[in-house]
Amino acid sequence: MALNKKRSIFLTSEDYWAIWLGSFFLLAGIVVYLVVGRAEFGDKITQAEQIVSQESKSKNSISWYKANEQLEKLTGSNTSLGKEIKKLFSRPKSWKYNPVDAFYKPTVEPDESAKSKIVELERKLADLEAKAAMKESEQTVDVDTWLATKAELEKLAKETSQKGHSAIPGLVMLGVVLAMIFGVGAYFMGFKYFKFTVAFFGVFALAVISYFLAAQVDMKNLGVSYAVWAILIGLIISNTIGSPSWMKPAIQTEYYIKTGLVLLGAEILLSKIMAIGLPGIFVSWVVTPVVLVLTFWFGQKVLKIGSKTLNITISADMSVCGVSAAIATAAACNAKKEELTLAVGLSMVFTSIMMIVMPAFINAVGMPEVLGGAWIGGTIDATGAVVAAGAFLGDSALNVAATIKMIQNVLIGLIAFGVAFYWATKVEQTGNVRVGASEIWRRFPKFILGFLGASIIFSLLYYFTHPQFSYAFIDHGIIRGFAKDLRGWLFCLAFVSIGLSVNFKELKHQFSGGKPLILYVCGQSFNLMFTLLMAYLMFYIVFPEITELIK
Amino acid sequence: MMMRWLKLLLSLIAVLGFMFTFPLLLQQLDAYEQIIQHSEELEIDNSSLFYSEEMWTSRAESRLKIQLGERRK
Repeated sequence: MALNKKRSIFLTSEDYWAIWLGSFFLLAGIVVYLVVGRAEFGDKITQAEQIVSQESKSKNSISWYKANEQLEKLTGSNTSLGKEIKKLFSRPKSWKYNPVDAFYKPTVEPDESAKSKIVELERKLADLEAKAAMKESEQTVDVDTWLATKAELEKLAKETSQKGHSAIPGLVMLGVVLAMIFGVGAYFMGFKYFKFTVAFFGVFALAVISYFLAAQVDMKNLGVSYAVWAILIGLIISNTIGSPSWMKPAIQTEYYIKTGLVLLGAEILLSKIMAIGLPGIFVSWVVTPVVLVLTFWFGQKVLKIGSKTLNITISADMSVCGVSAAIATAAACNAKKEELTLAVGLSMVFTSIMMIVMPAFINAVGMPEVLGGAWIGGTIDATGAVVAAGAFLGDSALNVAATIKMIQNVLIGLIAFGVAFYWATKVEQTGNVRVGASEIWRRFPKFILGFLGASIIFSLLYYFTHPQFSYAFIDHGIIRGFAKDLRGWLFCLAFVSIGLSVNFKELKHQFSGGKPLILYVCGQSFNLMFTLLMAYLMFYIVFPEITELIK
Repeated sequence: MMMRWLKLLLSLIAVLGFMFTFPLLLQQLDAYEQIIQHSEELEIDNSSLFYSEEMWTSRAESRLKIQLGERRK
């Protein structure tokens, strides 16, 4: 630690290291997907786009469908380098009864009878395509037959074969790469490089176990994510045999969370808020801040919750988007680990309950699909549960619910910044003393700048890049092919670290009097009523023409 | 020391017990069964947290864009 005194704060603070490492990863992503990926797929995308626009008048030709399908597949994560990166960040796969399936599955080829059926269907498809290729016959080719044959072929191939996988090499490689990279930051922050990297493997192994448990099909269906398992595993170890002392140098919650949040910034694309027009903005961006502020006020004034950080973390987690919002808010206001644990636990329990109860209720009362979808999207915390509940109601509900949730997710950048600013200027103020700009700057969590910076830069990149290239190389390249997986690993490491450093007694103390539960239930009840009212007003009174189009 | 390891063992048994019995209890709920069925058919990951972790957010956005785009024409 003596080394720290000689070094600049830019090298010794985890806030700055979060920015340096986050920027390093994102720059690497830009090079891999926007430069290398574009060089590989750019021309093919342009060609496919030309076919789509040429054929767009009929919209019912085989070449139009094939070009569209190609456009969907020509993404950053499908480039040669993108595929390798995907393998590196791969997690244990789904398993039901056999745990080995999570790490290894052999490839299974279709049997002889299935193979001959597949060959037959492929020949039929090729014949239809050949006929369509001759312009004069285009009109006579039945596109529906082609689509049905294609669907049959895909179904048969899926049912009779199995794509093998082996997760172990990727996991070992990922552990080594992350240990080496994070070890550099840890060294400058005063840790011994070798001790940190050895300790890192311990924490990383627990993160792998968390992902492995989260991949169990029944748990996945219930919506129990890696976050819950990571905290639980850490808690069990620290409260039974105790956290091993050799692992302690790598139990660095803030280091992982803040770096993960800088990566999350890149996923917050501001243009997404227009995905469903004004009704979406009203349901997501008006209701959410109102619910957040009123819930926080209720917690302070009515429930008189002792800790403001606990209050705001639960309020944000409940009103915005669950675990991700809880992480961002807790980091912005420097909440205690036990407070974040409690907020995450409450969110996960209520998400699972609401995922089952809400669609059943909506169906029972005969609520219209679009309204039900908007209601679900605005109130259930986690995206997976929102999509699952929406799918239960129907296609329109799924589309509206998923899009509303996505728009709401974008809000967490502003919420985190707002909370950090409010804490630096108001909450940490003592007495009536006016706080100067330098003091506000000292208190302000610097990683938030990395978080917002990444969001602004990627939003601009997304906006100014050709739409199909944005889709292929930013949304389905840097974001979905790389940043979200790496960010997931970092959050998982952070949650393991939280579990390893939290004591059950402290957790119990936070829950005293059941006030956090009351806060969540009251806030969520208000959220349910206000979101329903706003969704009804927006989709059925103010903009009924939009509802007509999407229902 | 033995007690600590015993506590660890019991905790792990409780976790495994929860993993393999709780979903069986839930399967008695019709709504839950249907949600699971839809999720499996559509390959939805019910446990995803953020929008970028779920493929359906991208599909839903594209579909709505097409539906709303047709209105403007």
